[in-house]
Amino acid sequence: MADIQWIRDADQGLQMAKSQGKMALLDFSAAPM
Amino acid sequence: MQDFITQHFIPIRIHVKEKPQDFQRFKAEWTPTLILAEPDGTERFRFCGFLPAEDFLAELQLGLGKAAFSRGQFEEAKRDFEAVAKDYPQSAAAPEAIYWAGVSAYKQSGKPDPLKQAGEDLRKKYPASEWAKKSSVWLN
Repeated sequence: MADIQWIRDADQGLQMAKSQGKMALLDFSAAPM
Repeated sequence: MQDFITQHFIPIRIHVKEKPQDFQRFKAEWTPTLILAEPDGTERFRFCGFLPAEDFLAELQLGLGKAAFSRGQFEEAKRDFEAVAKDYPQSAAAPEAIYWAGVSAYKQSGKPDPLKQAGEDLRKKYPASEWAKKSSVWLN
């Protein structure tokens, strides 16, 4: 999980999912940043 | 894990301190909560709480199957569910996957045989699971 490039904005991520034909995986986190 | 995630998903991380409003928007009430969503935001699957890597991947694969099922793509759903049962047999997702693989095959073929087969598999492999109980009606 540490090496994954997470998108930090939901709408931007959903837009990328649409353009790349993928599903979105939203991780709601409270882990230390 | 990284390969599986980037192959299938756009990964989005919402941190409670950065975007608390998005917790409300997606009705995330605890962390970690993982939501699999269509690009239009339609939620297809969610799970909550920490999981070890194998169980985490099993839940993601199960979620892909649930998403395909919801779209009416029963062949694809069946493949995803069967992959969970085959690749992660020790996971909590495995008996649920066998159940839904049977349902997907039934939806695809219209024939009840896959339901009975799933019920027999569950009774044999996961007799204590809720999914064995739920499928017991298919054995009559």
